Amino acid sequence: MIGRLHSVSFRAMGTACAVSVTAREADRLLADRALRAGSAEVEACERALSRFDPASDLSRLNRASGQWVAIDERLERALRAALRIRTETAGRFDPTILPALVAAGYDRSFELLEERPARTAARWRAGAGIDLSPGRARIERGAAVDLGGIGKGFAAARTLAAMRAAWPALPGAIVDLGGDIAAGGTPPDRGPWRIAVADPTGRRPSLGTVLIDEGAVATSGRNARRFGPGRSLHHLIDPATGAPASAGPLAVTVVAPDATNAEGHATALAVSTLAQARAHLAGRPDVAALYVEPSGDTHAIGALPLVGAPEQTGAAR
Amino acid sequence: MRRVWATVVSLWMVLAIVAVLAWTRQPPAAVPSRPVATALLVRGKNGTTQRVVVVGAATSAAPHATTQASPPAP
Repeated sequence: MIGRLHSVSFRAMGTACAVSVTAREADRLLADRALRAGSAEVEACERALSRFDPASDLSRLNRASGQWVAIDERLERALRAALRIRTETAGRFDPTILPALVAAGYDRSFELLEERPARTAARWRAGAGIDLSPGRARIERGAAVDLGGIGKGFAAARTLAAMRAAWPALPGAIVDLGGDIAAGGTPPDRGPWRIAVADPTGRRPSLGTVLIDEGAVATSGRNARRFGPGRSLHHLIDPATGAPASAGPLAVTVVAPDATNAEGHATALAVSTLAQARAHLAGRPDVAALYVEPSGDTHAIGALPLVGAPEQTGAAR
Repeated sequence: MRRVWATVVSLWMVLAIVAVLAWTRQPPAAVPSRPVATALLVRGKNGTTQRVVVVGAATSAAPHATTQASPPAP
């Protein structure tokens, strides 16, 4: 054993967050320093990336579409990652989804949403342009950006790095931002980090456990954050149509070396059919997924082995 | 003297009955979880590899975290 897990929990980015470090009691002060650095980084990411905060860098950028705007380094890096993942996913993840998301009714922080029928953006066009230069960004006139599809993963990766910077000899750390998780080093019991995969059907607490030494796990799905009349709407917009996705899994969990990639690819797979998901991951040996169909049938895709749980009925690639 | 022996014998009989009841009402032995863990290596950005394993639902150790579609803040 290496001491115990020291943790701090708080609310940020519209969800419950927790950062934890492995530390002995003798290293309590160092652990506290790392935890403070981690929480501060989550809050800094929210200030830069939130579309619900009118003072955030992202909100300023969206209000000034068509013009160059000076932005925080976090937003610049997040936009670069978003553009890369948009290319890698052939547009199934698109950071310029915001007009369609607002049209669908997700126009304010989730807790404040009202019941009203869904609409589709009047003139929806995917893949709007985003120009970047060091410290500045410009989005295409009339376009708007939402980083909800990678924001928490990006923040989780940054937070893990910030904790390591605050305590370079940190034995291990794990960051959990509403279920998007980045982990590194070792937990107190010296084994790998154990990440339970929640069962989106609710039939049982967990589909299984992912064990990682260093890496990230993220889940996207339509079982959470439902809204509108009778909770009939969900927030996963298919960039191909600009409307809430009709096909796709109930939830998909992605394992990747980096939390930004894990969440970005999970967002893309959440609007993909099983065949599309398999085709997408065929060229990505570093990304694996657990794809849960609305029926509850579960498929391991990529290098993720199909094991154990009786619900896992699909065939591994 | 006979009364003492009768008491001892009845005590032993009660103990024997209790032992038989305890034996027959033992909780069923836990079904051993299947050896379902399978390791895989995921290639990292800098060429390093990391171990990723998915196991069945029945793991003995508690998870450090749970991944799920992010619920709204409580």
